[in-house]
Amino acid sequence: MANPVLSVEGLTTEFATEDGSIQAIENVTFDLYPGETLGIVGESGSGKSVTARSIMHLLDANGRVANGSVRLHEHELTHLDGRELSGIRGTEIAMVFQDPMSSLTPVLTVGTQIVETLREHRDISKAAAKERAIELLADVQIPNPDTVIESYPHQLSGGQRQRVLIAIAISCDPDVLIADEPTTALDVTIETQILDLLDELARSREMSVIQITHDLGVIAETTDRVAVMYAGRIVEQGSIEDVFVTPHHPYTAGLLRSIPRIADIEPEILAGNVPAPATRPQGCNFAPRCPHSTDDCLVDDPALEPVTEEEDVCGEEHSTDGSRQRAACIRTDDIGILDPVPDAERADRPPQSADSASVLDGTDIRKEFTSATSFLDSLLPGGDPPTKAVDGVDVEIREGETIGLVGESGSGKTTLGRLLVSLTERTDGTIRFEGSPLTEVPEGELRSRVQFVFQDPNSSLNPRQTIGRILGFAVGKHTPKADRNQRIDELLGEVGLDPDTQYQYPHELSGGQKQRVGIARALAVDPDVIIADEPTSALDVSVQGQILELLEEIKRERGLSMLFISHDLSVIRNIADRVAVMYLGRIVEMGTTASLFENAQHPYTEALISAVPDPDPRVDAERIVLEGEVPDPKHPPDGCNFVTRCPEAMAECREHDPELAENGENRAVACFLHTNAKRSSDGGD
Amino acid sequence: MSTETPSQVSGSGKSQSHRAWRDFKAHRLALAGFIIVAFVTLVGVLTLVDDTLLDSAIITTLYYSPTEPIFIPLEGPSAAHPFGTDSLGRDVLARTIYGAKVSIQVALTAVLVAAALGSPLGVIAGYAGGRIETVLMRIVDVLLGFPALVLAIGLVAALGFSLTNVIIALGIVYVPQFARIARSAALSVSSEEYVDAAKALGYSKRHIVFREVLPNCLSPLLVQASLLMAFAIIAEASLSFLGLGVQPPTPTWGQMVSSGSGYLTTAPWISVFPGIAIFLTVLGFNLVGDGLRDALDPRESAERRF
Repeated sequence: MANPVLSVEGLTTEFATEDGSIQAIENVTFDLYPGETLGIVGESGSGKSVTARSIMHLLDANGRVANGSVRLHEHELTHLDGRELSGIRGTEIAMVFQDPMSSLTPVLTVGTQIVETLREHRDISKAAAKERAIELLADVQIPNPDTVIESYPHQLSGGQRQRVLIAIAISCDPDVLIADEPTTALDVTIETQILDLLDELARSREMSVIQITHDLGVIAETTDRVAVMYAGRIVEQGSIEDVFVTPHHPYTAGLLRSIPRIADIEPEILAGNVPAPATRPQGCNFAPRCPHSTDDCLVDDPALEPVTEEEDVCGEEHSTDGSRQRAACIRTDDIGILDPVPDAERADRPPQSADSASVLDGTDIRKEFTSATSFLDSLLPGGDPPTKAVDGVDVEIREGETIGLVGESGSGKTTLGRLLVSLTERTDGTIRFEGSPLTEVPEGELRSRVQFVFQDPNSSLNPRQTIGRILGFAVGKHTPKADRNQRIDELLGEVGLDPDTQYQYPHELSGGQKQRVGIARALAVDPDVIIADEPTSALDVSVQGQILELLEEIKRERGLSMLFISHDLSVIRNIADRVAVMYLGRIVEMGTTASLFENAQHPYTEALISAVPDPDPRVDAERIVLEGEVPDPKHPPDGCNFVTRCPEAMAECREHDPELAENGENRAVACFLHTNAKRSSDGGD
Repeated sequence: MSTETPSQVSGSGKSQSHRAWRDFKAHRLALAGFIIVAFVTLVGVLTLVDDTLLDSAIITTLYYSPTEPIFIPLEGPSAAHPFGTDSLGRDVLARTIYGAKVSIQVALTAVLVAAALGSPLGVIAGYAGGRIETVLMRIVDVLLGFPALVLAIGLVAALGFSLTNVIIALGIVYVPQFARIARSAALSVSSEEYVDAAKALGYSKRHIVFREVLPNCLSPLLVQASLLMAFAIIAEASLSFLGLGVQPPTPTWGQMVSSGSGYLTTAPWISVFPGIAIFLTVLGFNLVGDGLRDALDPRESAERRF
């Protein structure tokens, strides 16, 4: 094998904190070979971003590389000073960041930013640089590059901004591109486009790529080799097939087993949290969470050693290069190969009888947001048309069921959830709670029967109140004063928290614990319906599994109904009885979970399902890549809302608007491929 | 671990100590400010007690009476009178000490009045939005339309010259400062999910405004309060200088600067020492305000934490 382009050895990075220095990453070693894509995967706090920043010398002021070496070709990057580094950054090694909005300067046009980068490193004229910039934008497949080059970052969509960032990163032909969670902030269908683009660029330019992400599916689909990080160390490394199919480290296997999959497999819970750098245990960092740990594990940090492959007779042949699978576990020989897929088949959900009573239902719900903010704006003619966030939606939540509401950002799923609990005033339509319209249900009654679980646990708890106080207010609405403390203890117990948690403030808790408190608060009023808005999207993979399990359990024990809003189809697949797919303010398809995932009828549903990256590298699924992006909801296209991106669009779709109509048992779809139902009056406007 | 790369360690060690020095310096300035403020407040409280309850018994016993003209006028600083005497023959040091009483009284109460009126107004406006916000904030804008000192002079002129009226006037003048800051803080706090959670749980509007929103708007208000105290001291001094504030013989720093202005070339000490007192006190409050802002800024503390 060729010599590595980038060789990281024994890299240790430390940060100064008020309590002395902590080591964010320890002894990280890996090689990157020409033309390959290396994935670094781990949960938050595993040190994957710190590794990238240490390589690039982009650490915050209080961080420094304490030890180790980073060799890029003939340069030792850890010894270079600022000027030498900036010559290498961009031309030999470049980086793409997670948030495309904050990585671009808002006051300069996209063109200026690319031209500046080019002229910084290359000795070319302004005109030539501009020409090159247009070529680069075309390379990253931005439509109309010669007009986009004059636009400002805020005029572009998230996906386009990420493309611009990639264009800047590759502008001076780097040999190594580090992509730090490049698609985390993007929707699934856009993620697919960007990953395809990165793959293509790497191949055509013979670039080596380091892909950093927490998403095991993305890693499995895009990388050749992978390094799994846990608590600042690489715990397993090797080719993607080896590591994800025959994992040797218990953490790799645990992580793979804990993620919700789109296939028919029940995920397993990986208990516990990633320890913070200051509280890492003695010995193996994973030992406290490891099902295989023994007392020997608590003695020393295990070294990253090649694993013995029993069947592989010619093992020594590739033992010298970096592609050999390695694991940092002293018990690999005893444990052997672990199974990345849990054995448990998905337990069949008891089929919900269609005639169980409806708890919360809405007909023709609409919500329009106007951009007119002042009295004067509303008087002036012209103006922007209102944004139809929710555009005539019918939903029904039946007793004891979980409805999964899935869609990309801007589909109106969160707005719909908020409308159902009257957190947002609807423009039109009727919502009924147990058959009586919301206007007739007293506010107090509604608030104690329907509760909301929020997306971001960092924002959903008042930072100035202790957990006990937060829950106390909620409990106080129903419970006599004398019983409140006992009730708080019960609630904390129900969500799996220690009763002493009530004396703590939110910032003292981990993300998962905070989300548990959020759930306890919703349960405090004994609701019948819970609307959960992306309750796990801000959490780590293993914590996500724990929270989903908790919600499932609470729902079962209390006989709750639930509306579960998510952009993540694998999560929906695992928790929902029925699924509704939203696109641009409308439900385009609805059905029971199993039938919808097995036999998607709407082309959008099909594309969404196929876009979910599968963590099994052996599955080489044909992905349906949707062209373009979600249209501006102020100006939806004529005819079907999806017509601009639909691979199956017909002439009829441009003229008429399909209506959601029954198509088979418990199924409804809004597509002319399957039904002929057209939306009346407001149809094509 | 650092044995292999001594050059790097010393390099980043320098930047680390640089950071520590910067932090220390920032803390030290705030600490100095706090000491000044605490000292002036202590002196102010003592003189207040002395004046209202004991009829200046303490200062007369320990030093000289601040109001009795019993010395030779216009005598320069000496061992007997470290700050000299004024045109009527009163001890300038005794009067400067007594001046702290009025300054502290005005600064604390006026800012408290302004904060008590302005903060709830701003929080309600920011949380409620819509018409309530428009009406409340336009009233505030009208107040803000007048230059602060001009408005204060007008109010004092209308209400009459007295300490209470100066406090009321300054209290009203500083309402907009608090209202505007409280409103912008409330606007951002209102979009936090815990406010939605409170709505979803059916908490009363009063609970949401005073238990959920207001406590999270306090840090910028606290910073504003400490900075406004400095302004209030200057404003009171200006009013006294113009003869619109507290009336003689009660000494205030502004009035002393004013009365000494005629003797600036021959007896500068009459104006200079109370002037220095104003300067130091204002500086102290400003340093405390800056220190508070740094300490309460989440970004700053987050950086220090990691």
